[in-house]
Amino acid sequence: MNSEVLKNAGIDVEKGVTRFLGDRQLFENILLTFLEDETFNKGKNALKKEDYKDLYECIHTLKGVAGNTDMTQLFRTTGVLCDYLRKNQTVEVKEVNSLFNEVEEAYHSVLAGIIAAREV
Amino acid sequence: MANTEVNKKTILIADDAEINRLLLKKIFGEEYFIEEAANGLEALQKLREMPEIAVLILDIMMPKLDGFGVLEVMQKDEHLRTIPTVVITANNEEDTQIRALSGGATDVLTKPFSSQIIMHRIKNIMTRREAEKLAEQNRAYKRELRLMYTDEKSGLYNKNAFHRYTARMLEKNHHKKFLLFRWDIDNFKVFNDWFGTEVGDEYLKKIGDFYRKYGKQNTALMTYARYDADHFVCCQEAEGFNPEAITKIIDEYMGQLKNLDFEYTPRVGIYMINDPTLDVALMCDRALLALRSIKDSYGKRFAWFDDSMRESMIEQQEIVNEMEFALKDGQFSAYLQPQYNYDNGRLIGAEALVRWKHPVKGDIMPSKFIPLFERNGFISKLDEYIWEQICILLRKWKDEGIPLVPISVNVSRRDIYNPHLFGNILALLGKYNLDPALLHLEITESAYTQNAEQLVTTVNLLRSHGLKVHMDDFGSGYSSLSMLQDVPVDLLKLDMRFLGNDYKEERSGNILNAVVRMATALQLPVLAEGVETKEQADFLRSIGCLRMQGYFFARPMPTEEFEELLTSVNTTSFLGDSFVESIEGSVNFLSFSFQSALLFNSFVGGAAVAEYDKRNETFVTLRINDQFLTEIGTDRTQYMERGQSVFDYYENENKQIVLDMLNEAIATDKEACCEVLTRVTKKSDEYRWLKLRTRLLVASSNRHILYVVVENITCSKEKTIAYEDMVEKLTTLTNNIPGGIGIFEVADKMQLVYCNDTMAVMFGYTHEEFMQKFANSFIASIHPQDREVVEKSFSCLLNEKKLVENCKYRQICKDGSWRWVNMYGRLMAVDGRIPRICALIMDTNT
Repeated sequence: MNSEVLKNAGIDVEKGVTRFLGDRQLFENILLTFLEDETFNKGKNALKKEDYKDLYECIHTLKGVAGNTDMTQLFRTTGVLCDYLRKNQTVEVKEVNSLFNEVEEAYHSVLAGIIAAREV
Repeated sequence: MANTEVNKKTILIADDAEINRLLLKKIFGEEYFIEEAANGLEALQKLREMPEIAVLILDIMMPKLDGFGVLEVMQKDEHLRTIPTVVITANNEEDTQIRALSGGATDVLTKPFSSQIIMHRIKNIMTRREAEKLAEQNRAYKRELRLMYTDEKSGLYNKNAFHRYTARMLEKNHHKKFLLFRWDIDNFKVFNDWFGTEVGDEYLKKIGDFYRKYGKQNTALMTYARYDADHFVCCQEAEGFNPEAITKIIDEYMGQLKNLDFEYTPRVGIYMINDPTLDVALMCDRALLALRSIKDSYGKRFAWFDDSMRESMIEQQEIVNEMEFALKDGQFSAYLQPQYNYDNGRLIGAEALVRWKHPVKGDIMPSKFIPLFERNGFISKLDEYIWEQICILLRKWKDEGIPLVPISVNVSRRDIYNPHLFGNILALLGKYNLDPALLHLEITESAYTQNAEQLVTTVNLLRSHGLKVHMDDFGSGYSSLSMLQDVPVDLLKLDMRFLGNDYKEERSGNILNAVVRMATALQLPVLAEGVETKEQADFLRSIGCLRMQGYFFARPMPTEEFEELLTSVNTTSFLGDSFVESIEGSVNFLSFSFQSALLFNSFVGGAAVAEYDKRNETFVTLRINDQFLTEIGTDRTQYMERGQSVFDYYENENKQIVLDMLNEAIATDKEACCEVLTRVTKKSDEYRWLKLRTRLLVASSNRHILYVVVENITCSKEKTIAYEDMVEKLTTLTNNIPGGIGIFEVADKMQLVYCNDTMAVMFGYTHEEFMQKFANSFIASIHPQDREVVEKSFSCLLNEKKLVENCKYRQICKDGSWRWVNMYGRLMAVDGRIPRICALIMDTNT
């Protein structure tokens, strides 16, 4: 896979490979696995239902995965949303949606990047 | 999935996100086996199924059961809580971390984590765990070792440890001289029984403390231990050792502990170690021998082992070596010591005692082998052998028609605990077809105190089949008197050596007396053994113990000799043989002494010393002489059977008469007497009149000791009764005659000594008035003109020896008138006294 493409998608490839003890192949396989990950969609559904607890769980999980795979942007945005959800008992719908949109953006960016890098 | 590679550990990864798991698997997969769980429940399941999981990596956010939940469950489980857990969370908030750590997590890491860091952390945790486990194993091992070598209760080494460590110490210090001393707590078993094992254990612990203190205070090299139940040993450098000092130290320490009424005197046996390569157990044995040598002596508190003890130990060893063979070889035999009823002289039985005739050593004293056999258990075999010999003997005598008496055999403490005992004895009786009543079993008193329940069961079983059981050595053990009520026994054997000799005269007399009385009250027959003098025999008889055994009568003899005794006609042959007289003695009614016995038995007539209990209205004799029995018309055996209660012989008002007499004697402190009618025996119609005289000897609140003299006055009493009867008849007669009757004594005056009522009434007087007026001078009642006639009449009777004479005269009446009467006089028998005339006076016109 093309490192440049991945980097542009918001994935810190070097760090990631290092994290996986230099096993680039494994890292790339894991990225591919991520394509099938349903967590984000679950989260989106939760947002629609205004089930903020469920949303929190999904975003939290997503954050973990993002951290472990060095998807920096995704990691950051999910972190912000997580913090917001945790710190606020009552949620402002507008704010949540806004933060979620950031997450979505990062997420799609990553997905696109992986797909693009795969072709190369 | 077993770990086949040695030392490769297993890690469990619990995270719902597959990617996370993959990452971790990557990091740890090389060095460790990996297990995975996608949620909390799965994680717990795997933890439980696979005890080899060394570390758990736990994500917090998981479905079904989250990380916190898993931690909570793990904490509650004994095993799970020991598994190190590293929590990883995407949440880097402090409170999450705090919650994880306080929930029991070993460590917390936030995602994303550095692979290196997590790897090292896990590794460190693993290593520490390993080390802990090892340390725990070591600790457990040391504990095992300690248990093997330590006595729990005192905290000291046990026997095995002592042997090892002492041997080692001796080896290391072979240039120094050592000794070994041993001491014990007397009768620790009894102590435990009395005060409970808790107190006993406490005691042991304190002794442990003592030793530890002693060890610290002393600079000498030493080892010490608790050696068997109640023995303590110490191996110490010989230099500077002072046996008196150590005895004193032990004494003082034990004295401090003694806040209970338990007599304890420490005795120390010491063995000087000349050969340090000797088996330590043997050294302890030698110290024990030294200890045993002074066991029963009052003065000596410590003793050194010397070779003579060694000899006795060798001797004992030889006995042990030879005993089996000796039994098979028939070297053991039964000797019989006869038992007699001293009152009637009859042979009533015999006790079987074992004798050992060694082909080389000759006669071996029972004292040398009996205690040893009791210790090593051989006694059971020996006892069974003797029982069989006796059964054979009884069978032989029965077949030969020789008159039989029951033979008593000893049953040792050990035999009681043998569950086959009952069966064996019955089998023997069956084999030789013997009546169980012929075999009496003697069980020593101390057996009763040690395991009463078992004993009672066994004894009851035996008795229910017709065997009689004797309690042997009564008074030598620790039984309480009340125990006799519950314990089944047919006879008490009193050993004169315990109860008769060691004390001052008076005391032992009283104790024996009390025991016999108590036994009588419980309807328990008694037999005194060890009777050695006639004094003892006479005394025993006088207090009601008639059955005896001892050197005074006969020594234990071979069965052939005893057979002769049985077949000889004269069964009273022993009486009259030996007289042992002593000189001194005070007149003490309850003492052994010869003089008092003589006085009591022969000098005084029928006499008894008796105790009167005012409250219960009982009157029981303590001591009676032979004449007493003769006077009341019974013999000693019968009297003893009745229970020595005096009141039993008196019925109804007679008993009250006796009571009144007793109360009078007590109240006035003077002699009181009475005459009572008593029945000779409960069944017979024979009655006797007894005169009782009593005097108070000792008074105390409700109970009084009185001396009673008895005389059979039946004959004279019967005479008196007959006499009184006669007098009554006569009086009735004279008062019913229609005339006056007077009896005159004529000396210088005419005196009326008697007249009947009619005599007075005839003339209008009462009997009193008449006697008052005319008794002294009857002539005053006669008309002056007629006095001469009457006097003449009288002198005819007196002088001319005419028997009957009559005359007529006038006699005065109360109202002053005169009455003509006829007097018919008769001279009564003279008999060397003043002559008397009996006269009948009647009206003339009748």
